[in-house]
Amino acid sequence: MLPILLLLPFIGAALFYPLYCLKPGDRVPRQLTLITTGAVLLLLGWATFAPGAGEVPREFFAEWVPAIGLNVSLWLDGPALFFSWIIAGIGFLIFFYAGYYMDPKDAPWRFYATMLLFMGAMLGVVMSRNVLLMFLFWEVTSLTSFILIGHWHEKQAARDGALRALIVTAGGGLCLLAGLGGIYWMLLDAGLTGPRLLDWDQLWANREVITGHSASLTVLVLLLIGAFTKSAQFPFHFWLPGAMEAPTPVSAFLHAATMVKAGIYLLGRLYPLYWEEPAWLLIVGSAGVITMLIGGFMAIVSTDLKQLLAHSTVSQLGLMTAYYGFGYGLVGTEALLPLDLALVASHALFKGGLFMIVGIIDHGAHTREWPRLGGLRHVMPWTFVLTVIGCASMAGFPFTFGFVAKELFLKGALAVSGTHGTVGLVLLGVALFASLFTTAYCIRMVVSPFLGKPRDPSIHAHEGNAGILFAPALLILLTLVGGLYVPFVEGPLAALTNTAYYGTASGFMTGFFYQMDVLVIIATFLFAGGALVFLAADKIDSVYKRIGSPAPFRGSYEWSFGDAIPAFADWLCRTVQHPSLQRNVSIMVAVSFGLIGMSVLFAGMPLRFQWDATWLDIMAGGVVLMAAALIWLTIQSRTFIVRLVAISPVGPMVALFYLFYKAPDLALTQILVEVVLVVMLLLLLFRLPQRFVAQSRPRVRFTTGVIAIAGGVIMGGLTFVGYDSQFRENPTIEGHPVIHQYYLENSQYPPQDFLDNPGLAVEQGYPGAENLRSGGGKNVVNVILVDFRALDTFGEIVVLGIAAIGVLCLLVLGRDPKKLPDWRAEGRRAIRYIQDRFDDSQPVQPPVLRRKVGPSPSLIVRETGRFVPALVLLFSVVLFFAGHNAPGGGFISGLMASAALVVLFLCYRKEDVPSLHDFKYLKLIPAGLVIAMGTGLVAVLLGFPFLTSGFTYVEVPFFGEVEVASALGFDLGVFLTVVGSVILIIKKMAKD
Amino acid sequence: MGLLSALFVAILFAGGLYLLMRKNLFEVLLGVMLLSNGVNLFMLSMGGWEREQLPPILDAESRNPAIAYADPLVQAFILTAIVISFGVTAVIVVLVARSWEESQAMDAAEHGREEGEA
Repeated sequence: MLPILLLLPFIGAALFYPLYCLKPGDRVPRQLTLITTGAVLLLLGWATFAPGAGEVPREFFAEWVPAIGLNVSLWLDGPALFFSWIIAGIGFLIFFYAGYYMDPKDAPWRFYATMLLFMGAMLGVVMSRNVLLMFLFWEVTSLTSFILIGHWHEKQAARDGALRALIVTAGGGLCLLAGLGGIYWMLLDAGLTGPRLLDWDQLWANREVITGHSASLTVLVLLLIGAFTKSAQFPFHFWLPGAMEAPTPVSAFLHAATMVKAGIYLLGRLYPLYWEEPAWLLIVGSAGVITMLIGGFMAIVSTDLKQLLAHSTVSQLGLMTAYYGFGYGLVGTEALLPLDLALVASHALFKGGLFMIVGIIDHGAHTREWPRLGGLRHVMPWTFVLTVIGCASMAGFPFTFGFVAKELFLKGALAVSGTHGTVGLVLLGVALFASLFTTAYCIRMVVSPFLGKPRDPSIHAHEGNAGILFAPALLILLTLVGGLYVPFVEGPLAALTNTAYYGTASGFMTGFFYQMDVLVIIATFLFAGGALVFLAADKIDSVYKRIGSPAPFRGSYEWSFGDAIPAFADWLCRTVQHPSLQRNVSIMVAVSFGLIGMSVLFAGMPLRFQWDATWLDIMAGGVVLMAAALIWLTIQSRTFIVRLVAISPVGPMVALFYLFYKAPDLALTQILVEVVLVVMLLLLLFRLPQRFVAQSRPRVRFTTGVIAIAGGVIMGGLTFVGYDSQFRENPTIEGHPVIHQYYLENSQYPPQDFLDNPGLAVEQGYPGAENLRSGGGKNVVNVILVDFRALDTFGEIVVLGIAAIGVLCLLVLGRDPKKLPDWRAEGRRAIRYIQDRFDDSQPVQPPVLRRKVGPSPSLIVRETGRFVPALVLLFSVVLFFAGHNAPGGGFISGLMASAALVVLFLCYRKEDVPSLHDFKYLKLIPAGLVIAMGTGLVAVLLGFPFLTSGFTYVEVPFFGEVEVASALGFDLGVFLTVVGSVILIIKKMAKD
Repeated sequence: MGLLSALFVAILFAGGLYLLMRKNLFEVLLGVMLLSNGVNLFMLSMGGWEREQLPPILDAESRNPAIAYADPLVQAFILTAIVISFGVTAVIVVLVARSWEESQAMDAAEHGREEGEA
C-alpha cells in the first residue's frame, strides 16, 4: 500500500510526456494532477478511516543499498500520516485554485508536472522511516522548488530567487547528509548493525549512543543547519522572501504550507533524540525567536502584500522552531508532538489561504503594493471577509484555530521560564515582543488594502469568481471551525498521533479553551501592544529606512555567492586554465609530478646500491651520455632539421637499453617504429618553415626548465628506488605467486607426456604442474599479447586503426576547398569508368590521373629498392611465423612490412607501378580487426571465453611437426591492422 | 644498471617535459616522443634486472625455476605502449602540419589565444 501511495505522484508526473504527445491541450495537465492527487487522498483516507484501518499495513521494507544503510523503509506513523494529509489535502485545493490563477498558456505541462513531482517528494520525506531515504526525497524537494520558483524564468528576479533558494537549501541538505552520516558512523562505531539501523525509531532507541558520543554536538549542529535552511530559520531566513517570485500557487503550497515545514518536521523527528541536551534549547530556541523577531519586523516594513506574507511565514516558522526549543520545559516527548502539529496545521490553513487571497487581489487590482490600494472592501467583499478571518487566525484572535496554537506556544514558553530561569525568561520576553509584530502586520493586512478610500484612482479592482475563491474560503473556514469547536481539531489530531509508533497522547487539549487564566490575559495584552505597534508602523518604517537593510546575512550570502566565489572561480580558471596552452601544460606537469614526488617521499622505499661496473655498464653509461648530449642539442637548436637529426638516434638508444634488459621484441619494435617515425617527421618537415622565431622569454624558459629538471629527478629517483624490485627475491608475496611467474610457467605448451599424465609432471617438478594450461608458445611476450592479454591487444589495434583514420580525416576533411580535388567530378568520372567497363561498345577509359608526375628517384635508390624491400618483406613473413616461439610476431612483422612498403613507395613512382600505390590500404584496417575479432569469436562459439587460444600440432612435409595456434589468426589481424594504419598514415602525409 | 637506467629516465623526462612545455608545436611533438620513451624505460626497469637474466623465450630444456627470465609482462605492456604512442605521435604530426597549413602558426599560445577570444 505504502509504495503505491508514494509512487502515485511520480507515476502521474511520468504520464505527462506521453500524454503531451498524444493530446497537447492546456486543460489536460491540471485534470491529470487533480486525478492523481485525488487518488492519493483516497488511499490516505482508506489507510486512516477504513473500518479496520489498524489492519492496513502501515509500513514497508525492502533492501536497496544495505552497504551504506540505505533501504526503502517506509511508514505511516502519526506525524507521517498528519503531514501526508496536509500535503495531499492542501495540494489538491491549490491545484484547484491554480486552474483559475494560472494563465492556461503559461507552460501548464511543466508547471503541473513539477508540482506533482514536488508533492511526491514531500510525501517521501514524511513517509521515509529510513533517514537516508528521507534525505533523497529532501533533495528532490529542493530541486523542484528551484524549478518552480523560477517558473517565470524570463524574469531576472525569479532566476535570482530560485538560485538563492537552491544554494541555501541544497547547501543545508549537504550538511544534513553529513549529520546523518555522522549518526551512522556513531552507530557503527558502537558495534550496532542491522538493515533497519538508520530507521527513525532505531535512532531513538539508540539515543544514548548518539548523544553520548564526543562528536554529538557537531552532528547536532549539522542536522540543525539542514532543518534551518529548509525552514528559513535565522541565519538562513533570507531566501524565502526571494522565493516569492514564484507563481502564487507555488508560494502557497511550497513556501507556506508544505516544503518550509519539512525543517519543522525534521525538528519534530530529532526532538526525541536531543530534547534533553542543553544545546538544543539554546540553539533551536534562540534561532526560533530571533527569526520571529526579524520576520515580524520585516513584515511590518514590507509594502508588497506577498512579501509581507513571506516575512510573516518566516516569523511563524520561527515560532514553530522556538516551540521545539521550549519543548524542554514540557514533560516528555509524547505531549509535545501533537501540540506542535496543531501549530503546523493552523499555519498551513490560514497561511495557505491568505497567500491565495493575495493572488486574488493581485488578479483583481493588478498590484500587490498596499500603499496603492485601499477601500477594496466595497469591490471585493468576499475577499475582505476571508482576509479578516485569516488574519484573525494568524494573529491568534480568540475563536480561531490560531488562538489555540498561540496559547499552546505561550504555555511552552512559560514553562521554560519556570524551569530555566534567566535563559527562559529572556527567550520568553523576546518571543512576546515578536508577537507584537505579528499582531501589527495582521492589522496591516486587513486595514491598508481594504479600509479607507482608494488611494490610486487608476486601479479598477474586481472581485474574483467563485472558482478562485473556493479553495482559500475552504481553508480559512476550516481555521474558524477549528477555533470554535476545539474537539473538531483535537479528535483527528489525537487520532492521527495515537499510533503504535508514537505512544498515546489523548486529551492533550481538554479543558484548555474555557480557562480565563493568565494565558488569555497575556493574549489580550499582546493585542493591545500589537495595535500600538501598528500605529507606530510609520515611525518604524522611517527608522528602518534610516538604518538601511537589517539583513547582514543576506548581504553575506550576496557577497559570497555574488562576488567572492565567482571572483575566486574566475581567478582560478584564469590561472589554471590559462588561455596559453604552454602555461596550461606547465601547470599540469608541475602538479602531477609534484604529486608523484610526494608519493616517493612518503613511500620511503629502501635505497640499495651496489657498484659492480662491468663493460656493459660502461657501454650503457656511454649511451646515456650520448643521449643526454643529443637531447641538449635538440633543446638548444633553432632549426627543425637539426632537431630532427639530433632526436632520431635517441629512440634506438632506448632500444639498446631494451637489449640490456633482455627484451629483444621491444628492441626490434622500437627500432622499426623509429624508422617509420623518422620518415613521418621528414614528411612533416617538408611542410614547415625551416626556422622558427618564437622563443619564450628567459623567465619562462627558466621556470619550465626547473619544473622539467625536477620532474626528471623525481622520475629518475623513482626508477632508482624501484628498479631492484623486491619481487625478484621473493617469487611469492604472502603466498601468492608473482604474476610474471604465472606467465612464464604457463606459456609454453607442456610436453605431451605431462598432459597425458599430470602426476608425472608433479613428480618431475615441472613448473605449474598443478594446473597445466598453456598459451602454446615459447616467446612469452608474444603469448601474453595474443593469448593471455589478447583483449588488450585487440583494443590496441583498434586504437591504432582509429589513429590512422583520424590522420586521414585531418588530412582530407575541413580543408580549403580550393586545394581539394573536385570530389563530385571525381565521383562522376569513377561512375562513368565503372559503367564503361560493363559497356563493351565503348573503349575503356581509365580515370585520368590528376596528380603531377614527381621526379624519378636516383638510380642507386631505384636499384637498391629492387631487392632490399623484397628481402625485408620475406623477413617480415619469417618474423610473423616465428613470433610465437622466437622474437617477432604480428606487430614486429607488420612494422617491418610497412617499412619495406615505404621503401618501395620511395623507389617506384606511381605511374610505374600503379597497383602498389592504388591499393586501398585503408581496407586493411577493418579487415585486420575483423580477422582478430573473428578468431576470438570462434572461441566463443566453441564455448570458451572471448579470444581463448587453441592449438594443435600439424604434420608438415619437410618441417616435421608444426604447432598451429589459433593465436596465429589473431596475430594476422594485428599484422594487417598495423600495416594498414602505418601505410595509410605515411601515404596520406606524403601525398599532399 | 639501475643507476644508469635511472639517469636515462631522468634525462628523457627532463628533456621531454621541457620540450612539452614549449610554445612551438614541433617542440611539443618531440617532447611527447621523448616522454613516451622515458615512460617505457621506466616501466621496463620496474620489472627488475639481473646480470644473468635471459630473454623471456623459453627453451624446452631450460624450464627450471632456477633460471631467471626477464619479466615478460612489462615487456608485453611496453610493446603495446610503443605501438600506441606511435599512433598518437602520428596524429600529433598531422595536427602540427595542418595547424601550420591553416593558420601559419607554430605557436601553441596563439591557438589558445584565438580560442580565448572567441
